[in-house]
Amino acid sequence: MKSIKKYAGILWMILSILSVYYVLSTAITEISAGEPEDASIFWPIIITIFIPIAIGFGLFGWYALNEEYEEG
Amino acid sequence: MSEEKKSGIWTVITSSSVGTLIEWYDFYIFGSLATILSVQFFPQDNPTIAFLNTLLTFAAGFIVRPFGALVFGRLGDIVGRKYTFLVTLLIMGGSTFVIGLIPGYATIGVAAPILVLILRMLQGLALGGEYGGAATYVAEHSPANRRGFYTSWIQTTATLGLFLSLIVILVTRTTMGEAAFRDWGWRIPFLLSSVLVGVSTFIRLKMHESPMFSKLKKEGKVSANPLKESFGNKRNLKMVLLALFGAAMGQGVVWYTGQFYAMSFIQQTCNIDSVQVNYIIVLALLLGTPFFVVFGSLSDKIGRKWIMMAGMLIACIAYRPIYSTMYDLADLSLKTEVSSHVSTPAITSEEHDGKIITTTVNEKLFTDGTIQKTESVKDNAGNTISEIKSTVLSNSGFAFMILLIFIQVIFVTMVYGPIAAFLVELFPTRIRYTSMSLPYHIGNGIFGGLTPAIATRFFEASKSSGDPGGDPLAGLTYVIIVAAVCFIIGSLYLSNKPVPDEEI
Repeated sequence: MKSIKKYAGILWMILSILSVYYVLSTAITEISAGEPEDASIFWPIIITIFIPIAIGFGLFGWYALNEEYEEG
Repeated sequence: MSEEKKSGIWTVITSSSVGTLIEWYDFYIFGSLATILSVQFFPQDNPTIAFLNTLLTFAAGFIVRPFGALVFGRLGDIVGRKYTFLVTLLIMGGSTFVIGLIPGYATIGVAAPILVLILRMLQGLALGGEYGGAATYVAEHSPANRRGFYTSWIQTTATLGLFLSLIVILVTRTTMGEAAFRDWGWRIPFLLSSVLVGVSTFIRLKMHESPMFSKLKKEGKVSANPLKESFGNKRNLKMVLLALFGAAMGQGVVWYTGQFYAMSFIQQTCNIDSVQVNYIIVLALLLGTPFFVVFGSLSDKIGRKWIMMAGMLIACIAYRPIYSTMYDLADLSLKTEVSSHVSTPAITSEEHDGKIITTTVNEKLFTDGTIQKTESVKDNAGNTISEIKSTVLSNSGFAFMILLIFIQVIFVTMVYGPIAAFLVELFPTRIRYTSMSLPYHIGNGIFGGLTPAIATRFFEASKSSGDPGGDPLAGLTYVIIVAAVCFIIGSLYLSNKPVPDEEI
């Protein structure tokens, strides 16, 4: 269990990077295509709030990889 | 626990819960009236965009909640719990009252949605400060072995607030009639808030400060900078992150799916009559609410972790079958129309802005008792102003729909019932208000609050030229992914050990 918890940290860091990539690439595609109509309102809001959370998720993965959650 | 202490804790729970309930009521009347507000405050060139904008304004209230958690959490850890959640109550009540006074888009143009957005953000800030204070306040009065039970009463307030908002809307709507309600009656639930907040403020003024905070203050151990201590200290920051990604994130999406997305789904996607929608949600909530206390109390005996994790896992597995059944229940293409049924159109006329407006309601009956209502509104020149089709479920369909929503409310009670005690126990008294409020409000406010907007987005994205109707269940993808990731993280990293009094 200890090593699963530790190496799952890598997975959380990868997931955080992939989710940032997914959000940014979808936002760029939709805003440049102008479709749907409100893409230029929707995506800046989502990006502004989502990126700090994704960074937090990456940091959580880093802590897990460094066995910071072992005492729990 | 002595009788005197027992009666004391119930006074604490009642006075905290009533205020929190009113705040949730204020917050949720906006969501419950989203369809009407989109017509009142946004341009109607494209109804889908108007509805999406309303959802985003609704979501703005959620997005700012973490900021409210930081501002008021800090205040609560420095000044005290009692005064902080008195301030949040007054901000919430004032904002709600003013929303009820704003003229519509037709009268003041773009100023209307801007004002609504600002007031909605103020509501979100207030709520961000309220919940953490109430949960902390009750937990700090509770003995360790009953903390889950006592804080679960605070957990019922979110659902009861929604319940109260739906009851007020239902009574107002049925008393004054649909046309008057859509025209101006929707303002009443907002204006009523001022009375409720007045009563609640009076009750809260009589409350005393939490004993743990008072002790800390007496000993001069109150945190000078709760934000720095909460998020600048690795030992605490890692627990904030764990609370968010291992509990609050999944809890938020399960909560909003069970109560808001379900309502939006049966109203928008299943096209069920709005009054019947309110009855369905109200009854499902009424039946499900006692389970908050059941699971809160159970968490004192078997631990918080596995109740919350089980709720997330079962929700992930069950959502698609449940929503597919809900969709089929209202799908008229699967039903047979009674061809011999001849309905007599109900025609009403009223004068509006000097014009005679005629409303005609036609009905189609199906063999299982389902009715499709078509309400067309025309002006005196015979031009169609609007035509709304809605489905009224048969008695058995109505009961079955209540059961399907009730099952989702049970998932909500499993993840939400124990979470206040769980979060309180994760952080020390001196920075508890700040530390527990932030993950809770990111989980609920952002992951949960954005559920309707993101799910609607997924649904719209599933539409294509080959499938113009789209996949009605596409919105669940977001919910299931977030809950599944949270379940895995929570199962791996959270502790299920009880926390004794001396450690909190």
